[in-house]
Amino acid sequence: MTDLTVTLGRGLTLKNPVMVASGTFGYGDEVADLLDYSELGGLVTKSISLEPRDGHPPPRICETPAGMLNAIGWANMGVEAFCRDNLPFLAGLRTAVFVSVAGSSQAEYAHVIEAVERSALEIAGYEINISCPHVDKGGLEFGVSPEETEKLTSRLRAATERYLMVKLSPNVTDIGEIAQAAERGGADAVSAINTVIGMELDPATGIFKVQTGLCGLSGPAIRPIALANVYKVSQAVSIPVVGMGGIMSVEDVVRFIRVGAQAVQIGTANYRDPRIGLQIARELPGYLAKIEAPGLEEIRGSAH
Amino acid sequence: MLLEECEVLSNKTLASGLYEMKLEGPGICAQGRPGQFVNILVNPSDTPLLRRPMSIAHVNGTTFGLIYKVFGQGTREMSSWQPGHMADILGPLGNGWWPTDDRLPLLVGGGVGIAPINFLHQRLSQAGAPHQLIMGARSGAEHFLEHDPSAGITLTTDDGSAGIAGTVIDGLKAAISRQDNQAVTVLGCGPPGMLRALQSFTMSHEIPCQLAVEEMMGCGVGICMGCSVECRIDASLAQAGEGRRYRLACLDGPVFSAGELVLARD
Repeated sequence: MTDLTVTLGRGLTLKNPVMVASGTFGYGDEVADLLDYSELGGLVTKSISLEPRDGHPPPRICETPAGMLNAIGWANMGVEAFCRDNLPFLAGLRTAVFVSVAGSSQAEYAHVIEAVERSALEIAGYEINISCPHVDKGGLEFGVSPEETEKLTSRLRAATERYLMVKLSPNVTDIGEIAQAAERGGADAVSAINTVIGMELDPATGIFKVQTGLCGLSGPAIRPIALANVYKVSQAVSIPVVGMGGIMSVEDVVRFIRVGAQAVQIGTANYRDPRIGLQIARELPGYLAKIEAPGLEEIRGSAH
Repeated sequence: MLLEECEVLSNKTLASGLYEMKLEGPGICAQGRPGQFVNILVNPSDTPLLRRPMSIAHVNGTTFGLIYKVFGQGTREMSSWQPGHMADILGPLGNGWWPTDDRLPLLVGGGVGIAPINFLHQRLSQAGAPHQLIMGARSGAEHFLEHDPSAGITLTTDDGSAGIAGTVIDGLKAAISRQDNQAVTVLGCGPPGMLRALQSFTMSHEIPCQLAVEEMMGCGVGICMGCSVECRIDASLAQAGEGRRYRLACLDGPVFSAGELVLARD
């Protein structure tokens, strides 16, 4: 059997490279009837903020060609309820669990991590959602500025000994520069990409299909954008890169590994079938054998 | 909740613009309750990307039915499925209508909202539970039942070509007038305008009412949080941290108490 384990540094090893992405697997327990979580390489929760958030009014989503738009608005129960109601279930799973952290200030991100640390429940670490508006900076997203990204990362690095992964936005001039800022700040890994800014509207009425107008595009429509960004990030940093964006199949996973990803996350495809992550993980050895690749290490970064 | 490969047994026109599909699905049939829905994978390609949620319209043994209209690409493709086609279906999902003490249930359906109402009518009839059924459409050609008030079935049409000329509210008033002051409850499903009318009518007449909403859904199981439904926040609940302004049609609904819904204009 092909060895699918993936070493991510800081003593963290995934049993396979296939994780499920933040915001596409809820709090984790919604689909417990359908799958065995222990077959997943890892799971990233939906983004958790300090206080509960209502999120955006409907309509929050819209289907587009080979994709979908969303503006959920970080609707979540807040870290206190999360630690009480969901974290015990997540900590009991036999897969690497990452809590996705959202905030509107550096302090809020840190307080979320501190609350999870106080719960003393075992998780693998955190993924930092830097696509949040920074209230002290006029609502500009943390993730569009290398300085803010580095400052935030080093602040959070000081808050936890656990794995720290920073999730990058593609909606920037130079994603490599932001990735390097996260690396300088002490991130153990970067994950990319978050959704691509998009919009759809009714031609007859001019009404936006998603209430906020500007929203995030995901799904196979963004896969080529994601591959290009993961390629650029892999060239820019020496820490592991976790790739994502429109992965629907085992072939897509191998595409991301070949542009330099250490591991991958499945996002929108979970909405079609929450079992797709573990199905892909099961198919991976067979596909590697078919393309005569001895293992993931041998093909990583081999795009040419 | 389970994922089931369901064989299409039949798929044909039920009334004008309305299709009925029957599928073999023992697991979904065993668990499904009126008001619950299934989420259907249209095809394995990237387009359409998302499943199509549809209410269960009836269950007979290990066969369940869907009643649907062709709205777009997904339903157009589904309308072409032939008997023998295998469909990947996730369900049953969501929460159905809940029991209503000893009040007489008045079932009100319009548009494709007639599908779950039909299932509720079927279940109550099988249980021998008294109830009234009111179904509304634009014209008689869109109805698949006969107007028969003595049998508890009231049809309404906008153009007066079948049953009572008017909306389901006119049908509801007629059904209520046939009761001898018996306490009633309204269980409804339909397009937004109909839900608003039902909410307004039942609240002003202090009639308990449970409405099933239709929302665009991403996943149907609560993991995308896309199908938000605005609800009134009760001050005492809000203080307890439980007054969520937006609930999810798939997980918290699709059936809600009419009093808690904030129904937006179209």
